[in-house]
Amino acid sequence: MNSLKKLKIKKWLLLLLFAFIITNVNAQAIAQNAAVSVTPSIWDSPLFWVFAFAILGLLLVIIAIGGVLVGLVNNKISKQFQKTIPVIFFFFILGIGSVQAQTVSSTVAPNPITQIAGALDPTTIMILMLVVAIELFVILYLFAILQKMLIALGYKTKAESKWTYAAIMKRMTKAIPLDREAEVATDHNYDGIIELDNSLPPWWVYMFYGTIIFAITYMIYFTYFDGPTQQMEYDTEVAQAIQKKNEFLKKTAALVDETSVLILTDATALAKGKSGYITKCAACHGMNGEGLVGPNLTDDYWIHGGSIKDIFKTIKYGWPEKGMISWESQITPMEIQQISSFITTIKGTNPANPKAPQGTIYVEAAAVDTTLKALASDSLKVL
Amino acid sequence: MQQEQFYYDNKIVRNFAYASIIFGLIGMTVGLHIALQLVFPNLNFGIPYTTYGRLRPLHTNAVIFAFVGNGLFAGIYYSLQRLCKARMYSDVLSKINFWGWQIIILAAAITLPLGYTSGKEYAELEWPIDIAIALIWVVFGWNMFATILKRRERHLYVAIWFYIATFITIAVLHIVNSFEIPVSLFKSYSWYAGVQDALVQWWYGHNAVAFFLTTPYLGLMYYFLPKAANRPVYSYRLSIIHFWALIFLYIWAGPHHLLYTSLPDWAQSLGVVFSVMLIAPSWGGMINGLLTLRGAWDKVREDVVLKFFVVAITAYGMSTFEGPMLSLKNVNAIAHFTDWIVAHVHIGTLGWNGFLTFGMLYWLFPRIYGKELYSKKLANFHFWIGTLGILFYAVPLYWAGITQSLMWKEFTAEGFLKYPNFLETVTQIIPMYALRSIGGSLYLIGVIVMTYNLIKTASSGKLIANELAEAPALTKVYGVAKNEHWHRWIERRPVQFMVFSLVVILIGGAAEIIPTFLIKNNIPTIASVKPYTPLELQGRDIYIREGCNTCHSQMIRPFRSETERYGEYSKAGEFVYDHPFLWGSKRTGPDLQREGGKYPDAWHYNHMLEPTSMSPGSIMPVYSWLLDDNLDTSSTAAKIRAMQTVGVPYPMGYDLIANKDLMHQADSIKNTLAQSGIKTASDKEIVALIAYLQRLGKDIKLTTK
Repeated sequence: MNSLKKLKIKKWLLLLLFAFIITNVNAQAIAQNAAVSVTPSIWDSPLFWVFAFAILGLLLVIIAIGGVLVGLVNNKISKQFQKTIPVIFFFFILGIGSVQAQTVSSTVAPNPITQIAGALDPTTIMILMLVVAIELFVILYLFAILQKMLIALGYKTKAESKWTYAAIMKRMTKAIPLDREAEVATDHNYDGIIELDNSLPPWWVYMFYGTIIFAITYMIYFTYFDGPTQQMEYDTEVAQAIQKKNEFLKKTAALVDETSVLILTDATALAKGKSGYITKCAACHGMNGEGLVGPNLTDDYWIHGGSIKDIFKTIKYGWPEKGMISWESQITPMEIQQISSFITTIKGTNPANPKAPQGTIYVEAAAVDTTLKALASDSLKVL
Repeated sequence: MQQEQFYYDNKIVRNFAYASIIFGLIGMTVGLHIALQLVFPNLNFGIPYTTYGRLRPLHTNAVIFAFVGNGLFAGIYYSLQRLCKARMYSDVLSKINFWGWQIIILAAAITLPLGYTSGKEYAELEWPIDIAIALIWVVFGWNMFATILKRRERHLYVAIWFYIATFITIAVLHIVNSFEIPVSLFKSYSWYAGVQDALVQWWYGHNAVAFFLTTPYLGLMYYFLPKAANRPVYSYRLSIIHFWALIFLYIWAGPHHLLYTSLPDWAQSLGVVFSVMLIAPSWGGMINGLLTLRGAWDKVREDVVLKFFVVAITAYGMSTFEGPMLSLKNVNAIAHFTDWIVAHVHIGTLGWNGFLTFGMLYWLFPRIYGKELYSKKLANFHFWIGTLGILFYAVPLYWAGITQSLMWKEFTAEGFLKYPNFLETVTQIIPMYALRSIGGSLYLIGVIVMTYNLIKTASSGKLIANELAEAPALTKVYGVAKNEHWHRWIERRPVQFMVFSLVVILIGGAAEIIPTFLIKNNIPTIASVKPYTPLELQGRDIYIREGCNTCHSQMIRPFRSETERYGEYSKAGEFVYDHPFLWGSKRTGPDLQREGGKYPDAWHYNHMLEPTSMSPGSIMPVYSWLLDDNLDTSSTAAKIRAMQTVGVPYPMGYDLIANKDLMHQADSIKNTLAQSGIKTASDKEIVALIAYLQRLGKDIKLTTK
């Protein structure tokens, strides 16, 4: 009778726990509904859905263990407890309903965000984690009660419920000792091969179920939810890379483009430009810029413009149909600036074997002055 | 009950066993040869017939269909008779099966080095041989089924379930994948194009692994393992569940070979999830095998046969876990196109198929020759050197695969590829290739030792060609036992069993293939994509003949590291005129999908003559014969007509004037080559190949302009 009393106390405790969990989940659902109005993209967060499924799954486990407990109590103790079943069922439906509502709203919401956390703010994450933790705690607690009950009601001995390695192995493999093999033998005999009919190892069965659940979740996520297509994954990857690259270039003050490029005049930059020129450009434009396959870079004639901005642009994007490739994906903007600057310095150096001029004459506004001055001084010399 | 006397046919088992050994030796030697070519490219001796691209299909065909194929026939012919308590239905059919299969192998060994290939992996053989395979396979099935029907054992043992599933599924796979339009006696074009061809091919390719290398060998395991260990099979229930689950799930998993390609996303997802669900059914076989050894582990220490079986089953378990992991998209993103995959398949073939075959042969020979094994010591030596060989083979390739993939994907902080030159990533792993060939050599030495040991065993005994056995005939009426397991019903009904397994394996294939063919938006068309010109078509056939696709992929995956290296990622609509598709499965060399226009014609000319002149350190073999051999333009008309038949929109009557266009294009390439100082005639094969390479990936560039 003593154990019966104990159980009676525990049934109230149980009910309380259920109520606690369910209100908790509901409260959380309400909190999220409130959050929706402020930041609607919370539904786009995959992390949220991981939590939602985890919370729901754990809730189902709690209900299942609760059901077992209630069943045990019903069988042995009283019929009173049956009242709780509709209550549990009611809450269960409630839980399902709220999840369903979330599902609907998520399919409607447009969704460009693919980051894991999405719009979940840290507080919400904390709350969700707390709920999961509480659920886990409740499961452990219920499980402990279940074990005690099973022992109290004589379904199990104390030794069997212990969490020793041997007991776990036994539970996970359901292996029958070799000397009791005859109990599971079939009468099958093929050319002397006998078949036993051992149980499916539970660990194997759980693994199979696990992979099936994974498969269903995966298909649903990638078919009906926000599972990114490979096109979306690619776009994200490239966007992130460009952002990262620009941040790096900004940090190293190397973020130059065709609008901001200036002629560098310091010796180190020009030396770097020269070595870049020799390794990358000389094969087509000649060691001294005299032109080979590519045009002469030392004369005043330019096919695509001779300003620093034009040269930068030509190197960066190339003129593929004329044989000039784009270097954007091989050298940094800073290096392009250095090479462009170097190229402006070789103008008028008159190297040997020059290629005939191509394109139109280009005279830079500021350069006109110096050219004239040079001309003037030349003529003075002659005179 | 009246005992009936009859004789088991051991001679056919002996024949298949010898064929398996001989072709195993040949196939593995070819494998070693091509492995060495990756380290020493001039081991191709400068001639076409011994060059990697042609020998690689020979290696795979020889080890899969000749070594394992004959091995599974040997095992099935031995075990089926005993499990049915009946001699094979017809000695004539057995002989046709044997000699037919050997002639097919011989035909493969001749045609593949000659460059006659369909270009589809593991299905390279040309159409006349395909037909022969179908016929001989039906002969095998007929012989097997007729034997089952006249059996003296009421129920079919699990081994036979696997044999039935093997027969029916391989028949379906082979026939569907081999739909092709003949151009001439040794040339055909796949009926399917591009994405569809890829899907059908990997539905086939993956299930060739499943139903040629796995299910028949599971059947063999279920017979030879309990026999050798003299232990009962662990779980009948597990056999049932894992058998049906395995054949149902396996057939869906093909698209995992095509993750992050132009295959529609939904098909890729199916490939992922069904591969993951395959872990448990595959492991069902492994645990049923290993747990059968419960109480016999002391024997494993002594018995070399059991040692081979244990390593085989373990290798099976490892590769069937690794397979699903490789099917996860994030793992696949790293592993695909690298040597990781090569390592993975060799764990399966060297470990599972090889070791199970060896164990079976060591068990069989003493029994069919009535003599103890010649030397247990040599067999033990074989076991250890073989195991060591597998390790030395696989570990360097895992290393190489991961190293190379990480190098492909590494970016500098400035946002550039760290290794923009593909070749750098190749030279980095050549030492690993060298180590791998040492592993292969060790394994091969083991097989040579086994051959000696088995021949010695055979020559000291005498073949028991017809082994006397007796069993009562089946009674007409069968009283169903009370509390009988529900599955016993179908075990008594081989025809229903076959029909039901056929239905089970058709579901997955149909669910993936039919929508890809019928639903238009699975392959969005691109207006600028046009059929190949006659010269390009001829060049493409040279590309196929030389097996360029064994080392070069034509599939740029949607990763930044690939689009930076190769250009815009591949679109489904780009492949609509590709009969067959040439996406490839391994990047020993760089991807060629956007090769067109990357280099001048002269570069390609010089590169084929001497690859290292253009890319110092390259391990690509020389293709100098392409510069000397004349292009066979007499086939152009037939090729155009065949292409028209499979739906490529050449205008009516174009076959008659195609060669005029061909010569025109060839002349212009000759002229550009002449401008670079290269003198060649316009009717050389190199001209056609250059035309094809310069076309690759260009159509889509026209639209973006």
